[in-house]
Amino acid sequence: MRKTFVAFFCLFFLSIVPATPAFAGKVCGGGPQPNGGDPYPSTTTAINLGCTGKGNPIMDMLFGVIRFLAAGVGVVIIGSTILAGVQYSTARDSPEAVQKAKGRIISNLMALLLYIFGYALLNFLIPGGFFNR
Amino acid sequence: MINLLTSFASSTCTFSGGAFLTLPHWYQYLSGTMVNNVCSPQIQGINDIWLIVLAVIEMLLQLVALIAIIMVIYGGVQMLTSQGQPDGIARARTTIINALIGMTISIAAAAIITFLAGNIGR
Repeated sequence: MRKTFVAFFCLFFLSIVPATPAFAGKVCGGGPQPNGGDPYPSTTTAINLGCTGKGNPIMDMLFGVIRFLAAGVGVVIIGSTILAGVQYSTARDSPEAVQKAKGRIISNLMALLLYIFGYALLNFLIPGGFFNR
Repeated sequence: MINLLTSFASSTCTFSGGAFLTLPHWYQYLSGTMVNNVCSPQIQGINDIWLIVLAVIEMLLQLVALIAIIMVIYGGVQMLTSQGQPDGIARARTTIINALIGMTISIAAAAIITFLAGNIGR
């Protein structure tokens, strides 16, 4: 139950990958509203979260953090696979240690698969895609 | 994804000095500016954390080769001291093969993950 929850949580947060590089600035929000009303208020953050300065400031910050997490998925999986290789190298002649290393590699591939499918699913479900936010 | 991340970096100066065993600096991929005649790394946002992680991964890749060499030497010593026992020779061979397989996995990891998911996040 808890594992399922964590998996869905990760799936939700790690799968939304807007394509734009995230160094636009520190100003979050401030874009025009879709219904033509007053523009959204904007705010300046101390840490550059990768805000684009468009739309609702809260959503802008949220998407900045989501972009940050999504950009790290591949890097973290690569690092973990390298560590699995080290584990395999140092296994010497014990089959249990080799089995542990193989388990780690399989977990990495499962994580990558979850990420890819979550990305595809959200891209399919959200109108207009999550890439242009 | 690595290409995407490294394309963020736009350094106005190059870091020099303080090299250790051909390892990259942890700030290798951060953008740098001249402060007091020293090229200093600048952390501009939370996304720079992944650039530091990339430098650490590059260090790991170099250490992987060292570890594999050490394990192959260990397997060789195992084979030397096996005194002709078939059991010992087989275990030494397994050690050497495991060391080489592990090194291959580590070195190919970046290429494999980029092949599988490289287009995601562009």
